[in-house]
Amino acid sequence: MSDEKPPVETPAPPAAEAAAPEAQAKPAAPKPPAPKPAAPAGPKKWEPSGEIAENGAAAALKAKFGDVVTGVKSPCKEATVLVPKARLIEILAFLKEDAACAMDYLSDLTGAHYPNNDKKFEVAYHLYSLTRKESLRVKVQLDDGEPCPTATGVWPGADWMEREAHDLLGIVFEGHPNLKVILLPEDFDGHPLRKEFPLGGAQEEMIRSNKYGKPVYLPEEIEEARKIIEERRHDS
Amino acid sequence: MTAEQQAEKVSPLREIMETREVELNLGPQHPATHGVYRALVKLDGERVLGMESIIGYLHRGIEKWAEYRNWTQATPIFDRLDYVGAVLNCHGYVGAVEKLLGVEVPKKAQYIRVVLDELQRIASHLVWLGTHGLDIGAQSVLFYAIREREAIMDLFEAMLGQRLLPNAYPIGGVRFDFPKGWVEVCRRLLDVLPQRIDEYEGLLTGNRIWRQRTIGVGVISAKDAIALSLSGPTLRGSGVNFDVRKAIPYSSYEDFDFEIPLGQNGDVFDRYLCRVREMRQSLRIIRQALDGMPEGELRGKVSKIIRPPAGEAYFTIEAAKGQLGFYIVSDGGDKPYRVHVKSPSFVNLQGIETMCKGNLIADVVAVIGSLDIVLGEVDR
Amino acid sequence: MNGVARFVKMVTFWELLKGMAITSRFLAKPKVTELYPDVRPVLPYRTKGRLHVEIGTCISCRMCEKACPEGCIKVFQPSKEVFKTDKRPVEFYLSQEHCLHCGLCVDACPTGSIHHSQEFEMAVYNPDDLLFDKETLPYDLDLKHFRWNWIENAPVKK
Ligand code: SF4
Ligand code: SF4
Repeated sequence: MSDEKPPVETPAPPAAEAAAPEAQAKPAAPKPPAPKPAAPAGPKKWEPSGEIAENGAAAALKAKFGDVVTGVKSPCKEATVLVPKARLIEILAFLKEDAACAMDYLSDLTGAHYPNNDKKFEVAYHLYSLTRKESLRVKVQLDDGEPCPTATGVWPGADWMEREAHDLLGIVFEGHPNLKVILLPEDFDGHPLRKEFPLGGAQEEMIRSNKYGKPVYLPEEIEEARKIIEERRHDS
Repeated sequence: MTAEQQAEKVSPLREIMETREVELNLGPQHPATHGVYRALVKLDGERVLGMESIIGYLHRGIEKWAEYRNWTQATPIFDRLDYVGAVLNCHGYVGAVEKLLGVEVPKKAQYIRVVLDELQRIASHLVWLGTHGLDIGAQSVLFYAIREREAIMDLFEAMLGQRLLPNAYPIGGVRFDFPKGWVEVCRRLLDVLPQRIDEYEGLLTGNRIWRQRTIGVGVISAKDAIALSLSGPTLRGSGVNFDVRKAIPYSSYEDFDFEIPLGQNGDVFDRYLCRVREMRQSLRIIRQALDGMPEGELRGKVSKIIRPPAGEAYFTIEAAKGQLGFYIVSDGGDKPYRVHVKSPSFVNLQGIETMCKGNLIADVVAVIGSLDIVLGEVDR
Repeated sequence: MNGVARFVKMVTFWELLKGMAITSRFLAKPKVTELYPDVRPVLPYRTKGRLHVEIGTCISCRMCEKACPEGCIKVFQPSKEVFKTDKRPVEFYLSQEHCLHCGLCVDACPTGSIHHSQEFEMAVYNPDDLLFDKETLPYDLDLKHFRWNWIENAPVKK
């Protein structure tokens, strides 16, 4: 019951991936009509609820960069801004240097995979100002396989966090000095935190079909379940 | 390079005897690495020229695991991140979900959480003190530290049912009030512990062997520490005043009067002093929380099936190792869409290269000990 | 004066002597270690030991099964006719092998039928011995020195 999610979702990502090379080869003309009929019938898009929160740093950022910076809704009133990828590093450097922002501490850097959204990946930077005691979340949206500029030039501490996001989600950070595996084995295939990756990894089917599995995989019929348990006891 | 010039100067026999850099594997099964951590150290004689950390031996995919359970079921797994500070991890996750849900935790539950959190912090620091002492060669501290930790574990067992991984808090509050007689035992422990901490300090702080092994070793400046996003006592040892309990108060920490111990030089000794003083401050907080324990409900209004609104939340607490952050994303369903853990050990371990460069190989062990890493949290 | 005191401390290894004194003080103190198999520890009331199920009061609602993060529990409801009069499960499988001892099933149970006992000795030679069914699940009540912690989890009528 709790593991039904992946089979439902698997049809979506391969279709999207298959569509991607086409879109690169041709101009984007045939693509826009496709998502429109799919949107109401197809899988749900991820969209935050709540309202847009403001704080000093977000206001200063909007005053400087104007309409390229947009506020993001947040249900718990955390100041969040969405910035375009092309000007990301410029904005991050401004946030760090400017006296009205002074976001000198990179608290966290991570990403998330949204296979049903138009832009499939999001990278979130959680910044904190040690002097002004204020936090801000900066987000940038990426397509599948689209590189993200590295933040290691602004905060050297982003080094391992970017390596981790590269490992688990497959986001490429352009210009990173040492972008290799950190948590996974070197010969690991795939990116586990993508939604299409099964929980059990490549061995998922083997675990499920194993008769030595946990009782949760027992059939709903009591006689069959008893037989399996008896067999298991007999074997050992 | 200066190191090469130095090597040339000190070894006139270089013409006959070839000298070269050595790459040495420290770990992954080395007792001083506190788990399965491997460091590839580049050496010139005994001096460390460079260092590379290789981690991931304990990666269990906890973030992925949580996406397949519902919001309540995901709570026990986060205890397994930092297994010597399990209560704090549980608080981090539960607090993030509460923030997203907009649940008000009753005052009494907040105070109980503060008491248990601070006890856990002391327990975690005691394990660190014992093992760090053992690394540098002070063996007897381990026995004394573990003895006191056992008393705290007994308190946990009486309160939460388990000693190490208690799954301490449900979403919205706490499960039980303190059992009968628990507060008295806890107060007795509060009276005893300051003397015991004096004992550890008597064994270590003035000890000239300890001082020679730690002072001036593994130095990191405040500027570097901030740039590398270090947190917790590792950051405060360099003199940066950043403690989440004061900076972004949660769970009623603004009610309590306590100080944040700061170091000056950012070496191993300062980080040691910071942690030892932090234990004393924790005792102060527990005493204030027990004295001012309010009456009231234990759990806020949370429905049985938890469905936070679609959106994201980032909640940080001050864990024993540093700033522990939970970034959770909900799609409005009953399962977490994405849970990301900002684990302090993982980020603090980044600083090891800066700290070790130019030190001796024996100091690497002291630096690893002073970072207080738990590999379960580094690899997740 | 201060300098002299410091000199004396330095030559006499004062701080090392102090450490030795602390260590040697414990020579005369009583032991704090316990001899476990000979002396059974008295476990507190809330200890989360092996799970115990009162089959008599269980109403086969499967709340515990849905609450468990590890899927340790499987409850089989009786057929519809029987269920009207007798709600007890026909079979109740519980695998302690995978159990996290988290207590979420205990929280979820509406009747307080499932609860932790104080048995902690669960080392077995064969992992299948940790798979309990309806007959083996109720914990042996003859061992009087174990107390039960179900009173706290039992529902109270308000
Ligand atoms: S204690 Fe936790 S893991 Fe064990 S059966 Fe109950 S819910 Fe499942
Ligand atoms: S939740 Fe309680 S009453 Fe319901 S099936 Fe489980 S043990 Fe029986």
